[in-house]
Amino acid sequence: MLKVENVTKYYGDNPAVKNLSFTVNDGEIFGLLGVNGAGKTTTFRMIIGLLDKSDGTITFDGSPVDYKVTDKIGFLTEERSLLTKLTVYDQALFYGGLKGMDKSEIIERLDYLLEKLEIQEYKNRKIKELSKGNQQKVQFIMSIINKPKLLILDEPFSGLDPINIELFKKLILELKSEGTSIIFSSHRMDHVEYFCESLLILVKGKTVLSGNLKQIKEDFRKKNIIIEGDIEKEKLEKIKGVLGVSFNKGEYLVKINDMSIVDKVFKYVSTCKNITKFVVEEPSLNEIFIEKVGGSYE
Amino acid sequence: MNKKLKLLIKDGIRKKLNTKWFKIANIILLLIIVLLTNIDSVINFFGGDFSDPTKIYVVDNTNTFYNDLNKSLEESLKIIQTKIEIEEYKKDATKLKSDIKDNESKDIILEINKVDNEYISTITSFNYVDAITVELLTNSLNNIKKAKELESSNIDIDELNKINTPMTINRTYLNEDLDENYELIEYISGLLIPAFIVPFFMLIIIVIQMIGAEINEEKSSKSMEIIISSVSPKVHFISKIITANLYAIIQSILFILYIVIGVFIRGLITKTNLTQSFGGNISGLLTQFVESGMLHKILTCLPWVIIMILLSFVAYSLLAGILASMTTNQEDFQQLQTPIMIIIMIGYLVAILASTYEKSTFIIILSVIPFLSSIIAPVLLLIGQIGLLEIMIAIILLILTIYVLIKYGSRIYKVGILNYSGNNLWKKIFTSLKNKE
Repeated sequence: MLKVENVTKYYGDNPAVKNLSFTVNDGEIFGLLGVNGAGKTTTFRMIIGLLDKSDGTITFDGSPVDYKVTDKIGFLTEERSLLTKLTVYDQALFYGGLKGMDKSEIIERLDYLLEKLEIQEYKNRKIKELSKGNQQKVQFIMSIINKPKLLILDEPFSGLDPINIELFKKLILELKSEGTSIIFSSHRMDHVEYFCESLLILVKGKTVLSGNLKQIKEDFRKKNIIIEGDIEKEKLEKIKGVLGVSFNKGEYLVKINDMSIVDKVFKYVSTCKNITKFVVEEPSLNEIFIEKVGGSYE
Repeated sequence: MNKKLKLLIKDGIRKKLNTKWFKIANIILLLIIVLLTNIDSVINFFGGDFSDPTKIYVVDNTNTFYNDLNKSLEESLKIIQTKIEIEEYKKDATKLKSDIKDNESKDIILEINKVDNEYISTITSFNYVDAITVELLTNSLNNIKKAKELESSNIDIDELNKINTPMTINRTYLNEDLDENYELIEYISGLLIPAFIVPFFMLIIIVIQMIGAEINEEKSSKSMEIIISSVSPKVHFISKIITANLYAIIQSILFILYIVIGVFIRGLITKTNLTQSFGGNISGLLTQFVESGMLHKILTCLPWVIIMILLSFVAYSLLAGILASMTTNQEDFQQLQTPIMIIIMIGYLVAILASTYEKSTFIIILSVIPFLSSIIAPVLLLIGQIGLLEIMIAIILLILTIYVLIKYGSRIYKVGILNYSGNNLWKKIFTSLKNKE
């Protein structure tokens, strides 16, 4: 279990991260979100011990994170972090060795992961000769070569096609089922929603939202109502509490600022004809994120 | 030793030695060294005018010179490597001159005449004659002439020997501190300075560039983050220093091996031993070198000089590692390494000037200063301007420098290797110096 408590990091006089606290349990996938420059990379670097904290504590399984425990941690960086002149095999021997693994152990694990990601034929190829997507697969393999107890995934699906994303998803879920604590960071909110039970959103180093995703959605007052039928958009917009109405693919999307408005909308819709759909939906994570961060995200 | 440190060193060396460019460069180096050590055989193999001996036709009109001249030249040619053949010519020289002119031949006609009791020789050739041949002929003719004149003067053999015995010249120095072998030492050091400094310079450059390239490759590929998340920056720093120096040692051993191969091939081609194959002058020089006690003196100080040179390599490597960590790409590092090159060049120039500015206080001080000491001190030691004391001082100063570089350098390194921006670089560096490890 990873525990981050009141962690602060200053660069000079500027706080990069302020009073950050969260916990990632064994077998849990935790979302750490934020726009570029929000403090995510600084947080990752502090967790794996690359950066010293200005204040606060970070513990993994009850012990401070130092070079005695980093062998149990895997880190997939957002940017490519491979020695591209090496072959996949040599790179695995090097990174696996750095994680304290024996050669036979590394080879066995490498063969398993290459097979899982369907790139066995590239084992002895130089990394620089591989396509962007295959390099990302190799990078993912290197981050989990040591069967980490804590895994940090920073934009893991970058450069992947939908088929390969599915292969990655299976492996991530396999690690979760084996008890690995995973910190997941992505700009793709659908991926975050797919994996994460709880999350935290950072804005300029400060936590603006954190907790269980389901609870966050429930607590988020703004909801959406989807209506299909003959209604007058202008009349809907005039109802107090309706934030906006849009029409797309034969459906009206009505944004309301809390659940009490649902009755008023339903009352009006009941007077209309040919109503075939009236659904009250939770907001998407993307909407919540935009609301909290205050910008377009995709 | 730390398992991960071993892994980093092993991987670093393997990466360097397993490249096809290392293999190609070493094959080229081997070929060049073998060719250089056998350059005369290579030149002879391709042939040319030089491979034919110069024929000297002796027209001895006195009938007394030829035999002595033949003997004298035979003796000289045992020492001096020049191709000359001598033949007595008893016919009319006019036709011979005409043949040489028509054929543009390099043959020489030596006419010896006695006119009014005076010996007169004439050397006739179509083209210029090389200075060695002219000097050989001149010396031989003069010696024979002198012997003949003395013989005709009816001087007895003892008197003749007395006249011919060279004068004994003793050298006495009133300054008791002076070394009587100084002039020999100065001559030998003139030969040894480039032989020592050039390989040193090459190896230092190899070490500096290897450290810079490796660190920058890991930084620019962002693999540094993965490595540093598994091993401490200090272990990484030390691994880079050891790897680069091990590589330099391996390359030096290969370099020496190539020279040995070259000399061995030379022995096979010329069918002579080492000193003979390089000519009698080197053999004589080596004998003098041993007899003068210089070899003993050098061997006494050699272990300390080796320690000093090894420490200098460590100091240069640490400096290169610190500078490389501060840069974000290879181009920036190339610029930062220029001051290191200049330091080495200063050392080289001062070492050359050392024999001119004898016992210069300034040069002696420079010889104990870290980074310069490894170049200047061995030269000053060889020419007797410093002793073991100065070498020890240089070693102590180097150890202190290495301590400071490790203590403060590793703080800079820790911050530098994860810094990808040139903004506020110096501020970050100075801040890092205040941090404790």
